[in-house]
Amino acid sequence: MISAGDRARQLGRTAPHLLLLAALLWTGWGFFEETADAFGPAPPAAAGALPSDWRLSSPQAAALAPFLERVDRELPPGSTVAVAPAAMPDLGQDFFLYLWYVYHLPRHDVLRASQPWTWERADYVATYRLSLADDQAWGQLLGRPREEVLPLDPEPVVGHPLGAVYRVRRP
Amino acid sequence: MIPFLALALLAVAGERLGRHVLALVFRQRPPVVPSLMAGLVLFHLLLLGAQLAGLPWTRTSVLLILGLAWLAAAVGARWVPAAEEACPSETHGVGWGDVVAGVALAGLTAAAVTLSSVNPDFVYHWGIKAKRFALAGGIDFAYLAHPWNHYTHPDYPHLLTEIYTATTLVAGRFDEPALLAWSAIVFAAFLWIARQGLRSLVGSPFVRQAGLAVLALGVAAFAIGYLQPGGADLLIALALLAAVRPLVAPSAPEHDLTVAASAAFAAASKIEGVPLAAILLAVYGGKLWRDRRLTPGTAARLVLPTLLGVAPWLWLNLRYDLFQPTNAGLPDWSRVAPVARAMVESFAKPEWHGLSWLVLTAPLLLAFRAVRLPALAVLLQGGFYAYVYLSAPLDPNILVLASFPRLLLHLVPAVLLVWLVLLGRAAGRPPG
Repeated sequence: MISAGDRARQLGRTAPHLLLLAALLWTGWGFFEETADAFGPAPPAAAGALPSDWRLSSPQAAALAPFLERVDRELPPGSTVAVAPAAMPDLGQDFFLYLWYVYHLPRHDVLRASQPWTWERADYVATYRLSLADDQAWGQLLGRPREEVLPLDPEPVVGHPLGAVYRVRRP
Repeated sequence: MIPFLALALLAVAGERLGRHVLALVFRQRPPVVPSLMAGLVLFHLLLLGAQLAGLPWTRTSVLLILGLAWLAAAVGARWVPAAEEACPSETHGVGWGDVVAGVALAGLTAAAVTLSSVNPDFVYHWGIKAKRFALAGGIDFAYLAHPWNHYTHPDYPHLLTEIYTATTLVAGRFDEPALLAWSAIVFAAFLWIARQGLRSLVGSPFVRQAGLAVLALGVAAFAIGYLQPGGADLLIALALLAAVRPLVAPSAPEHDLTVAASAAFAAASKIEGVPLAAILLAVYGGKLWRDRRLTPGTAARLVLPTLLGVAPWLWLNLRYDLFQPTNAGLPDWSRVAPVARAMVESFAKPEWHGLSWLVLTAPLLLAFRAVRLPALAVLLQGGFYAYVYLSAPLDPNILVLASFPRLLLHLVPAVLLVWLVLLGRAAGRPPG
């Protein structure tokens, strides 16, 4: 006959095993879910539209890389490059885009076109989806007319469907 | 293939270097994980020393530095009389929990090297700095000091960046999959030290195996889902986890080298690792003092590895004015409510699958004498994070949500291991 004390002791010894078994099933399911997400089908392109959502494997980042790798090779090492993106839908997204430019342009000093210290240093402007004809976007970005920074009809140093690089006009 | 060979070469050489130097300093034959941590810290210090001596980092100089240091340490270690075995056997038999841990490691490795799970900070600063340092042939302090490069966290210790830089130089190119594979090596070390801890502190074979499996699956799930490969948070998690066994087990000289290596590794890995190193050394030092083992020699051997890393880091950060104005300040109590709200949101991140809430049980652990010291270390480190959130002049919601979910990675594994030790004791068999 098992006494109540023995039963309590037995339960005390079994409880950790049951608890661990439950934890094992729970964490196992979590691991399966996260792994399936990581290797599952890529999210629709719109889901990764914001630069803050880009990853190394994102199609947007993968499309940008060859353009910037060419820029990195073709500009003289040590050049100062200002990044000029088209207007972004969300505040701060131009910063995340800028970080991708820095990542792919390690031979150069990369600055944001919107910063006040940029234009006394910049040798080149690298655009992202920003048309030369979009005077309003350039004005918002630079806080001055584009012609003060670039020649009237500049020739791209590097051209690509996603952007272009222009030499900055010196006074 | 060559970048992965470079990675393997650096990891093995680093572990060997650390093993010889720890054996020299502590008169013990050290286990593999403390050896790896110590070796990487030494490598980091040697690279910095070479730069300060005017030797640029190239493939040849990096291999020469590592090779010569390895040789010197190996020769020195041969002269150490009667090195004791700190860890009699590290292999044992393979159990089902080890197999599950292997699956978790395989999952994380695959997610990292296929770029399916990459920490955004690998692009935003670790990778940027590694490319820059590889081109500059050393730490590019002029670049870090530009105010517009503040996003690169110029004041962080550089161990991880230097590992990436050295791999790039030895491989001859910046290869993202190979660099991300460093996270797999760190996670393998993490699982190995957890296994050693469970084997020495837990008697029940079921609790050992199931505990390792739960720890491996839970941490891998978060690391994969919350994009940890490529970042430095796994390194800090490893350092704190490695210190659990020395803080729980009866005091013995073999644990000194683990704490010394863990503290130095934490301090060299990330800025949050500097207070963690101080906490580990203080808590373990208190244990040695209580056990009347705190001699000047022991204290020096414990603290010196951390000091050797922190002193030049501090000096160079002050010299180049790299500390950021957002780092510190006095607590602003009006931030308590938004910080608390954002912390609760961080605990509830789905990638944690509930495991993160365990950290809130750390105060309970203080009631158990056997595990009071690791619980104290966790609480102090957690308290440091709370202090930063209350004092940093940044939007509390953004600051906490952007960092706290992954800072929990530092604390959760240690708390889980401590609970497993208690569960093992409740299951009835004392550790054999």
